[in-house]
Amino acid sequence: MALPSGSVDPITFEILSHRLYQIAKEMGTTLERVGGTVNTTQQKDYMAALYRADGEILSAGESIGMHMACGGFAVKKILERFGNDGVAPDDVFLLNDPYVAAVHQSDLFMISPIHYHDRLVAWSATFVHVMDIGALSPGGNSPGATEIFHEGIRIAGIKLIEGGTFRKDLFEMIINMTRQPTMVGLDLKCEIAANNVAKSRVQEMFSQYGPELIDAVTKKMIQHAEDVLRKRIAEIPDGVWKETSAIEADESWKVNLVLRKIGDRLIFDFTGSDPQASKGINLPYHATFGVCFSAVLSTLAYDLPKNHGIFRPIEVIAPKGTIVNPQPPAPVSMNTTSGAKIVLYAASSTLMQALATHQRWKSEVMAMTVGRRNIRHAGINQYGTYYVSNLSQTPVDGGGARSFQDGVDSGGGTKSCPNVEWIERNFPVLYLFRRHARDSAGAGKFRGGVGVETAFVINDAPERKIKGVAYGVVGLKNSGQGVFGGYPGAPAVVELSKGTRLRELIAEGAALDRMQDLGGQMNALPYCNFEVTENDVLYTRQSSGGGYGDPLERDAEMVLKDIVLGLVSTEAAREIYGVIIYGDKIDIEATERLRKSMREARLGSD
Amino acid sequence: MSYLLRENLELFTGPQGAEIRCAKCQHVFCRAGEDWKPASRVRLLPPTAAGPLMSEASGKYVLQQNTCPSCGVLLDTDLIEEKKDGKEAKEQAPKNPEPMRIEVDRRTTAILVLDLSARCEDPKLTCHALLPGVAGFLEKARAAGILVVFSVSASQRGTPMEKVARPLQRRENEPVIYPDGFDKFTGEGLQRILEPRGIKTVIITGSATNVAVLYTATAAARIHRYEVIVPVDGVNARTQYAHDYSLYQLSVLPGGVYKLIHFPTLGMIGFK
Repeated sequence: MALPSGSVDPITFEILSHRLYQIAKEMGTTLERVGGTVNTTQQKDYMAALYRADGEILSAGESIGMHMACGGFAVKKILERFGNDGVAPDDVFLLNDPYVAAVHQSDLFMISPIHYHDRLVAWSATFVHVMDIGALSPGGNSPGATEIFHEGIRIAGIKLIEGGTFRKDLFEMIINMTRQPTMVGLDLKCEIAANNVAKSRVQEMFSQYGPELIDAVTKKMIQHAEDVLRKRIAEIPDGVWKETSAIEADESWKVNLVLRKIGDRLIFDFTGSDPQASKGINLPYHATFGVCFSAVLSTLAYDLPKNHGIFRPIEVIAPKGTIVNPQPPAPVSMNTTSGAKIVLYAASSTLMQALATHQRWKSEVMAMTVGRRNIRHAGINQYGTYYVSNLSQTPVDGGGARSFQDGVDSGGGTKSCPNVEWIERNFPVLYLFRRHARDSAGAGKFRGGVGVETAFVINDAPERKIKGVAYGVVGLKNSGQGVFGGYPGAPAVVELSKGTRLRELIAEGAALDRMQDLGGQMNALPYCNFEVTENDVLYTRQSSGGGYGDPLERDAEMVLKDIVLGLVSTEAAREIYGVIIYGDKIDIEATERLRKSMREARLGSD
Repeated sequence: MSYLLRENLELFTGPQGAEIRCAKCQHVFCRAGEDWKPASRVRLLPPTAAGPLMSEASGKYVLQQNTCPSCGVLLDTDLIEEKKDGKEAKEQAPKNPEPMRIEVDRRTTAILVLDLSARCEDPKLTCHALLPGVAGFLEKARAAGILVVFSVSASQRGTPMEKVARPLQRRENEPVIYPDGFDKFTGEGLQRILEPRGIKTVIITGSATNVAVLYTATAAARIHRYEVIVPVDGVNARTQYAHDYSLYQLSVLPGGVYKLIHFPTLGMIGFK
């Protein structure tokens, strides 16, 4: 971080600002160590951050940007609801109402005031995505829900711990309204643990440095981030950029976005977006704001401290009653992987268009990736116990290509991917494969990152079946669009192949690594509940990143390397990149001839 | 003086003022401040031109490419919604020929199976849908001793895709040809198989109705004067419109050629 000018000694500023960042990171580590579900312990589907006394974001660890912003809204709502006098030392508040500050009910915020000598000086806040919330479908994401009342427990803010006393009656009431009381209880307690860790660390800082210095440092941290970001925004010429993104399932919904850049402000205007849906893809206003915050954070502010300074230059206009600002009782349970993703696509795309107009920032332009499909599963496991969990492979989508390098393979997501053996040990599921999907990356001078494809079957399931829920972004339009000539990446899909020859092939000892060899009838799954039975194969592929620039300008050696790694086939090398490969050698003359003829074909001389 | 606007496009200020031009070949698109895209060359391609896993976008989206009209460098690629022209045209499309039962002489008839190569084992490809029906028909024909000839696109030769799709269970003695053309009589390999055996009737199955089937059937009837049978459920195309219109086209070929072409279903073909 560059040194700010002002009255605070710069060395002390650096030490304290980094200490606050480390505290936020330690909160995340605590969640992972104390939690019990795959979401919390392996996938980083959580948020952990510190807030100033008034709810402004102070410091966040490796948290999802949207939730970081919503955590600040949650703190402000608790202050509004309980008033300063109603917030006592050692209280802990619980909130998950999407029409207050949460994104959807499965994300449970735990919010702890931090007092120093009885004065409120800060907040620690966490959320984890619990494995069940008592909604229509196991796991929370409910394709059948048409109102928020079908989507589980909804809490606008309560004291789960009051003045240090744990309210066991409330706690048991909440967990017993879910299908997974033990695991949900463990997740709630890991949040309390993380908040407690932060509280003790922050109080130590206050004791060591005094409240005046810490207040000055935290104000300056936020001001510094804001000043740098506003300067960067001001460098970009004023302008207007547009994007439309869409979900295409049985019905389709679109988000219209106009980004206006005026001076040092960014105004995201969603006027013209579709009316709120009767399916849980709707994104409440604070979450729409949070997604725009997240997009700015990862484009113009990726090297700045994550705090409220990034928040201030942003304005978001989202008309009431639309999918980006729904009103009760519109359902929301599937929104983090649908509504939020198409808003992120539109926000990121308009920002990329803006960056491309400035000499300094154009090298930061990258292609897109957004389409992700998710699966939840539930049933009786191999130990005879009911379970609900997820088979989410979303973190292993491919990143968009950059102006100087390929996109990141199986690393476009913000979270982590679960361990295969852990899943197989805990649930009646067997992976046939999890690997990079060949020929999926958007071609270009620099190709997009390669997404991952996975196939599962049930194994040792006492009921010979499990339930599934398919959700995520349905549709093709926004899957990994390329830039400056780069091709789109392959879209995300969830497919269920019924009536395969699976057991027969296993008995024969055949390889089970090609879907087409398994037989059966493959069906693409939109938003739906489904069942996986004994001869079914569940297949999912995460989206791949779009390419950057003309594929015929890609270094032939890089194409060869991709073939060796199994990421590109020799057919695609020839037909898309115009590279002829025999064995492990490039036929340079033939490649030059082919590329020339492919360019001529573009001119219509074929 | 030039300023790189973006990949392969630059702003150039010269005697004519500020212009946007190709950074590769300096072809001028337009004046600065104007939209360069109308001055580019536009191509529409199927989504699978971006890779086989884009097949799910087929029928709904097309790949639009903008290139420099002088040197062919690619400037933009977009996945855009397919125009509804196809649908509108379908509503006005002429009626397909009515399938009619037909009986053929097993000694003078050959079955041509066009381009149902190993790639069609991928369930996402349109040609995959043909495999069960054609495989069943071939079994029946083999039992009657009828010659079966397979074609595979020349571009697939030397690749794993050069093999005939496994569900068709090709026999060792059934020839495979690799003609370099939509008309599978290209290169005369097919005629060298059919003529010595005294073949008079060809049954054409395979993919796609609007490409290999259309051109091969036309050549078979018009040039080589075979009786041609195109089973309407033994061929298919990416869109229903393309399939329907191609069958219609075969049914109206001028000069009496259409009289040589017949349109039963696979199940309506009998062997004597």
